[in-house]
Amino acid sequence: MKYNFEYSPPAPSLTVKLTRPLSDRSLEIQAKLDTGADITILPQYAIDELGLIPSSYVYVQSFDGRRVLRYTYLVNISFQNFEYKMVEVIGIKRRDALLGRDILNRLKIILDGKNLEFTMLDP
Amino acid sequence: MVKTTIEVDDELWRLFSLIVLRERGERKKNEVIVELIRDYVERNGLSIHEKQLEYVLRIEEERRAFLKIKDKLIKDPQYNGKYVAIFKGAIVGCDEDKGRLAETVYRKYGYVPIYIDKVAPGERIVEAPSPELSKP
Repeated sequence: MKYNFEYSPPAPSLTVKLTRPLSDRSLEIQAKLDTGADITILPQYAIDELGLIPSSYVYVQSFDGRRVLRYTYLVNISFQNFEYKMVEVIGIKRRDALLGRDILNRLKIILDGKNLEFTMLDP
Repeated sequence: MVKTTIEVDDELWRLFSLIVLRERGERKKNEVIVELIRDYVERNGLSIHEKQLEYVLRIEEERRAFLKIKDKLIKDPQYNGKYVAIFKGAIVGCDEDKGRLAETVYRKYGYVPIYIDKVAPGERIVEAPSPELSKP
């Protein structure tokens, strides 16, 4: 897959489908791969549109050391041929999702920055 | 609508008034304060959306119930290190896998506010450190 040139510099991103647990209510959004993130992050509007219910909370530490409390939600996430159920996510006011290592570590991912391409495999 | 009163440092208020007057014009301070409150709520991962407040209030109740019994659960080998689900103030499930536990309790009680947390000392901290450049 090609890197997404809407980001500057270009970034590995793809369309993911989010589905509310135990329902068919779903939404497709753009998600950027973020190996720095411990947890997957969704835009708040996606949480609102799916009507997700908080299930827990976590302290999130950002790059400048600030620590904030966030409710966590469980959601089903699928992309390409991969499907992950009840993934714990947090919501933030942003336009796209960030796929964190909670999902990325389940796959073999090759980032070819030189050619601005990436592959995701589950060998 | 709620009417409330706040105490603000005199100089801070005058500076705030000056900025609002310059940027928005007269009698707009209330509007700016409402925007600031809304932004604060959204930056904390919540929004004024259908049922959001109801969900948060209910999950907070369940969380308080969990915190009351957390220390006792930590000492109990049946629960220590596992995830528990709290619904209506009581433990309704326990599993080593959070996703599996959620699936079980949501199927049993419906997709309703159920608090799920790990029985372990301390608070859970995750990092989301990637800074991003924003376009002007």
